[in-house]
Amino acid sequence: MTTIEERPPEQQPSAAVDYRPMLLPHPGRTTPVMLEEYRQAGGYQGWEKAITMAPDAVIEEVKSSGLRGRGGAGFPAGAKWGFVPKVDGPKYMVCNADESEPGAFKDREIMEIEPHMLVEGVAIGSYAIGAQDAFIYIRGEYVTAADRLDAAIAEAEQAGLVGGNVLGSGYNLTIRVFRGAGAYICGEETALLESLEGRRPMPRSRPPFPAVEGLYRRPTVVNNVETLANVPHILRNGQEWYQTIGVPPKNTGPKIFCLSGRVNRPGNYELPLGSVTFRELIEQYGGGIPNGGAVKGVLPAGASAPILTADKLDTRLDYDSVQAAGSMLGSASLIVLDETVCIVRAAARMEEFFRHESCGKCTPCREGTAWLHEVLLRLEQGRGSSADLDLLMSLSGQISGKVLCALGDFATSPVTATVRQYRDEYLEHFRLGRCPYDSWAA
Amino acid sequence: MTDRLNERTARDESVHGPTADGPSASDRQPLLAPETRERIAAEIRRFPQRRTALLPALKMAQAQIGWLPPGSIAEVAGLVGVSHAAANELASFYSMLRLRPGGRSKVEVCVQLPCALAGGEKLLAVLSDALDIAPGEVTPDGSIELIRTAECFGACHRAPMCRVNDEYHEHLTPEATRGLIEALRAGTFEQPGANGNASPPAASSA
Repeated sequence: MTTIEERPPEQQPSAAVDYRPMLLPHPGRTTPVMLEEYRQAGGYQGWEKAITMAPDAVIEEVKSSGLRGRGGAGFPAGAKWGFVPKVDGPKYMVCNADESEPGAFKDREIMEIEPHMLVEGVAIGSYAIGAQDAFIYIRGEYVTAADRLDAAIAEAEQAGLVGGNVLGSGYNLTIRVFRGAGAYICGEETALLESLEGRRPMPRSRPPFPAVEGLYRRPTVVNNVETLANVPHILRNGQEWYQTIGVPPKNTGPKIFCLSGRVNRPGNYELPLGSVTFRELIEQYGGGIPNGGAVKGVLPAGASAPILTADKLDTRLDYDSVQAAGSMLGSASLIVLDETVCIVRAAARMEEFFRHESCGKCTPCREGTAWLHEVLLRLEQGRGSSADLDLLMSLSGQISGKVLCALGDFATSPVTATVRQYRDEYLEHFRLGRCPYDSWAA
Repeated sequence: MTDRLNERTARDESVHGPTADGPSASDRQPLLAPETRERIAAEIRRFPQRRTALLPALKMAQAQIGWLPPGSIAEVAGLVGVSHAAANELASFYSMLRLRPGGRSKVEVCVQLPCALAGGEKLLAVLSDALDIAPGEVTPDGSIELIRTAECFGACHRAPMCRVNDEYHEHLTPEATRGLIEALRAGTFEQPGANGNASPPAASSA
């Protein structure tokens, strides 16, 4: 059915940082780690430990670990769990597996290769917040990953690790995989919840936040795949151990860096937060730029966060360092642009994405992304003027901060960050009356 | 429960008139095969609230027919117990749900930035030449539909790539692309259900 077995494994780099990956411990592997193998490697020990603890103690352990959400916002995961009120009635754990950010392919690999790691993380999170129902909301295109998760859940149920009376504890947990149908907006947590409820996935206004009123208007936690995949390791080895990875207290643990674009060895590279710089990741792991070229800029978080110019390449890859450099680590989906890439064309392509994915609920985003895209296309063809640059900035100002969800804010990043930092390249387009670059390289 | 919902379906049509694809639901054979209806019923039982099954149910209908003719959306709405409008809202929103018939195989080429930087545009051009159709078109025999998409499929490290129906085809070097084109021409990926016409399935039960 799938062609996954036929794929050549990604080339492996020499180890530049002394670190053994834990989220993706088998680089290059294409087949899933199923229950027996997962347990031999210590799998489900974290869950077995967690279920003997009080739920609050589990939350405390994750809080102390410093784990921050890996989906983009970097919000402390344990704190999010702690917001769930102690009320009777149903509560829900939802795993956001709607990975759709341009340049992001880390959750896919976790789910395709380590489905049990996610199931274990979902189980521990559900127990901690007192949920007996959990959903893994996976994008519709990830058929292989969804099938493997279904198989892993079935195995775990068979083994008594999830389902009724888990491990003889009296705790019941049902985990369901829910497959989406192609909508980036479903990665936004309240849109995701609308989608799960069978409604058009348009973001809700907040408050109330999902922790208080989420799925079916009940307390709900939404966590990213990679976030939950970290949890079994924290429970198994303890928060003190976890804090020795990365840069404590605010940038602990491993992070998967999705490296793509103009690099020789694109791929997922799992490293401790803050252990490498952009330059080290690109050169020592990504094998440098094709044809010995130079970096023009790097998008640290796909299309959604401001591009960083080449003079920022020595920035460390952790949440706070990237923010201090003027962008966001976000999901760590690094897209590398070299000197062969037209920045205006790149911005237009990213804006095409947001135009297509805007859900249409908020007028500034629905109308504004279309205008941004049109103006960028005009500029790329050399048919614009300097007034268009002012128009882009003014349009962006009318979207950002004036919409219900982050998509609108993200949609202005490709525009404002490139106009500010690569203004000369924009000017050259209408000075020449054409794009000075060749068509898409490669 | 189901009977009451069917009544509501009939009533809705009496208000809004027959749907665009023919006579009202009450006068014609259902579009959804009994097996599809059973799958949908099972899906409804899987979730704490029935409406959660609406999106999966629409996908099941599409898996059978190849796309979602208006009558099929109405039938799904009836089975799940929501208004036609509620089902239409989903059918018209998600990019994987299709309101028009298309080719029996759908070839979606990603040209979002990471793929474009690694040959996605060239892949699209090569496929377009080989199939002799522009992106957005279907081959005259109805077998292949070529789609340019700026959505990201999460395969940026294995670009250029495309999806053929639900399969990922990655690392599409010129050689691999030639092989893919031959397989497409040979009809390897054609989906039996996806015949692009809305006629009901041959009567399989009385």
